[in-house]
Amino acid sequence: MSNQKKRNFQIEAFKHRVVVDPKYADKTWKILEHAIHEIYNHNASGLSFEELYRNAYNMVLHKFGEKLYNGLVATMTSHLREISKSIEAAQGDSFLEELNRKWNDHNKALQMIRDILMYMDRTYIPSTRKTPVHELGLNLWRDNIIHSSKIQTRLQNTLLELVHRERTGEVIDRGLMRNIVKMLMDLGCSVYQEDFEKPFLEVSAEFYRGESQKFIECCDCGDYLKKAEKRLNEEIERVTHYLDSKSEVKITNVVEKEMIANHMLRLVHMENSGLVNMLLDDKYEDLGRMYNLFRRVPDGLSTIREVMTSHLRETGKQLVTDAERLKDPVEFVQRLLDEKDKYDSIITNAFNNDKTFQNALNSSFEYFINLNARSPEFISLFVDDKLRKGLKGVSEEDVEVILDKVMMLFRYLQEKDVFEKYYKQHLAKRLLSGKTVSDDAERSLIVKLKTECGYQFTSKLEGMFTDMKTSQDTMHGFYASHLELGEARTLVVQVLTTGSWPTQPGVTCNLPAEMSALCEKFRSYYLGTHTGRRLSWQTNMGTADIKATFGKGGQKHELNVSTYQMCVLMLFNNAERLSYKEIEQATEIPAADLKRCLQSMACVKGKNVLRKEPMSKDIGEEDAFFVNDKFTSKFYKVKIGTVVAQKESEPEKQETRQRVEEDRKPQIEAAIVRIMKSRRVLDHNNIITEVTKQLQSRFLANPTEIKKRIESLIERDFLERDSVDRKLYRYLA
Amino acid sequence: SSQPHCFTAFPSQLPINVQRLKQLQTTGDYSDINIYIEGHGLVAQTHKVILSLWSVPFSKMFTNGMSESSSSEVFLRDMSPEAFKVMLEFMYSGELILEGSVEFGTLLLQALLLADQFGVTLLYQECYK
Repeated sequence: MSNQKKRNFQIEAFKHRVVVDPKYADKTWKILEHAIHEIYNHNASGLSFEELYRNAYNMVLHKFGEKLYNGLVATMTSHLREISKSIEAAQGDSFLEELNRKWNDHNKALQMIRDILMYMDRTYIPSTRKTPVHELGLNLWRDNIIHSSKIQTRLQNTLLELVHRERTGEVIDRGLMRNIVKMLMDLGCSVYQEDFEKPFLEVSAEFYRGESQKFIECCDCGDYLKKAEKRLNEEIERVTHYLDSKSEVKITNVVEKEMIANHMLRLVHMENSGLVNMLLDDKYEDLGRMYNLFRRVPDGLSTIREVMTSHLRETGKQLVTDAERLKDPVEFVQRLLDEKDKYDSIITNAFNNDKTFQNALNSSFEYFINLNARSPEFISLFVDDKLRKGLKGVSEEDVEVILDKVMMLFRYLQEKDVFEKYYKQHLAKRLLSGKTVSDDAERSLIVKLKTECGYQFTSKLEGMFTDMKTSQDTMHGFYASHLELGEARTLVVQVLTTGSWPTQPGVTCNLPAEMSALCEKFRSYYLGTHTGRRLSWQTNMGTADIKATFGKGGQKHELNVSTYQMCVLMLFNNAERLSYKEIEQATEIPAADLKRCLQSMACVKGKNVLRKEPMSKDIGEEDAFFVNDKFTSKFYKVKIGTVVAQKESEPEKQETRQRVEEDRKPQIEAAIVRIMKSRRVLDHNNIITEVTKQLQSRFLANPTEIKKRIESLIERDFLERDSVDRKLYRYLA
Repeated sequence: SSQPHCFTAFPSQLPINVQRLKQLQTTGDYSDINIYIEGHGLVAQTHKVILSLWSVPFSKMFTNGMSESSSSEVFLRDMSPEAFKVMLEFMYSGELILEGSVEFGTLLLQALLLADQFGVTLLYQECYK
């Protein structure tokens, strides 16, 4: 059963107690009215709660609730009119203070009035759907005070003026502000919003529009952002001090729009101080500030990202196409790494490790690294340099760091197969010349490559390491079975498995008689133990240590030279003077190699064991060569520069390119067949797309080449063209 | 029935010794307020905290700044002392005990009326049963 019903029952039961005195209600109300006056006049301590509560209770009980309620409204209203007059009369600063004081008084009075009328609040008001006493008191305050014509505008202006004064550096009474704002909030959301928040936001927008216009004319970008940040923080602080917390989002939106969004493009592009200058000068603090401010506005971060990306691409493009820089591949790659480090650290320190920025950085690198077709070669040369000497004395962890960075560049390459080709060449040279610094580092890189490119590529590289090991054992066996050759190992042979190594078939030269006899001995030893194999000499890949005596003083040196260089030098045991043609005929070294090897022995200062006529920097076919009797060196051992860590010459480059293209053909064909086998029928454009997608981890397939491969497969009956739609291909099992 | 009506469920399940509480009511130990009813003199020496726990009007009476807030005496009117004692008994024990010289039905109605006047909801519900 509901409470309502119970109450009805109770009142019915006591009907006999209804007081008959017709003046009863008026008399009782007078007592209560008087009490309300006393309460407003701060004389409440003389009143009896018991009496007032009992009288109010009796009035309600005896059906005079409406009289009580209406009396309350009238009495309170008349008090508030008086109060309104005294607030209006307050001059200047005392206006808010008076308002606040009276508000406090009213609140206290309202509290007491509610206490003595509690019975009415509990029973009469819900059943008649009237406004509860407390809310009634607030509404009457709102209507008679806050919305009185003489107060409303004045209050609004006073509050906005105080905010303005605080913005211009004055100290204001924040406590008072807070109390007044709290009052507006107590009167209801709409009062706070309409009478304060809305005009506050309008005035603020105007203020910041003007201020930002002033700042943007006279400040550089960094300073402007500092000022904007300061203002933003001030507004946030203002909200915590004396505004409704829900206003924070609204006022910060105003500042963001006026100070940032409206000036965004001008800020990032500001001459001498904009985003690009900040990036150039690694201004982490300014960049971080820009990031944090711009992220607050629509399109803010994308604006930063786009400017950064286009700057990166521009500088990157210069970096990879600058002819001066291309001269030194190691320096070239080092600069790329430095650039990457620079931006990594900007993104970490200033851009909150933002993934979208990391992606922009990666795509920019991918874009410009591939603008230069030699990037794969240069990256491999960089590794070569590091693994030959650069990593000497570097700790294991640091080696890993460097190798990881190289792998990161590797990932950007579109033509990974080209890198692999060069890597194989460079590794071969390192292994054969015994110049690799650290076996661990070599293997670590191979593991990384394996993770990136799969087993197929690295298995050949690993084969190279195996060959090196096996060759050691072979040499041991060879000398053990030829004891007459003595302890000194005149010949060291590395047996390289065809296919694992970047060997060039058919390139060989005439070895000196002493050597070729020894080589023959080895050949018969090797073929004797390994039947069914073929050996061919790769004289272009070998090295030799030879002892030489110079001039009348008999200066002795040990020269470390390439096999080719040795062949040339050995000729001078039997001749004073040899012309280029004679050397070429005697050795049969390919012209390009011969020129380079002569150049390194006759034209390099400090290494010039030969003398050339006429003296010049380049080797001519008419030149003549002599042993340089005046050769001196403070070292006993002299290393004549072989072809070390040098980028390829133009024809070599073409040749490598050629081989890469050749190697791609079967890969493209395999991809086409794989795709067609599963799809059965596919049109031309889709094949191109899918093949490109399948191969992109290795290289960027050329559509013309794919088309050629398709045609070749049709000729070999792997595919056929649809008889109706010529753009359609069909797989033939 | 002449059997006292008992309501034993203490409302808030406090780990409190009800026997001890009843004892305090009987002896008036630590009492801080004397209740007088017009025409009946002193009817109870009791504790503001107990009255305040059950009744918001009493709690306001003791605190809102009017004359009772600074006094240890309260003068009530227009109520039966027996009914008031029933209410007080309930506040200490959680039990509704109706006994004495007054007729059961009348006493019950008077207690119900008091419970309504002072907003002692549980007592009101108990009387209504």
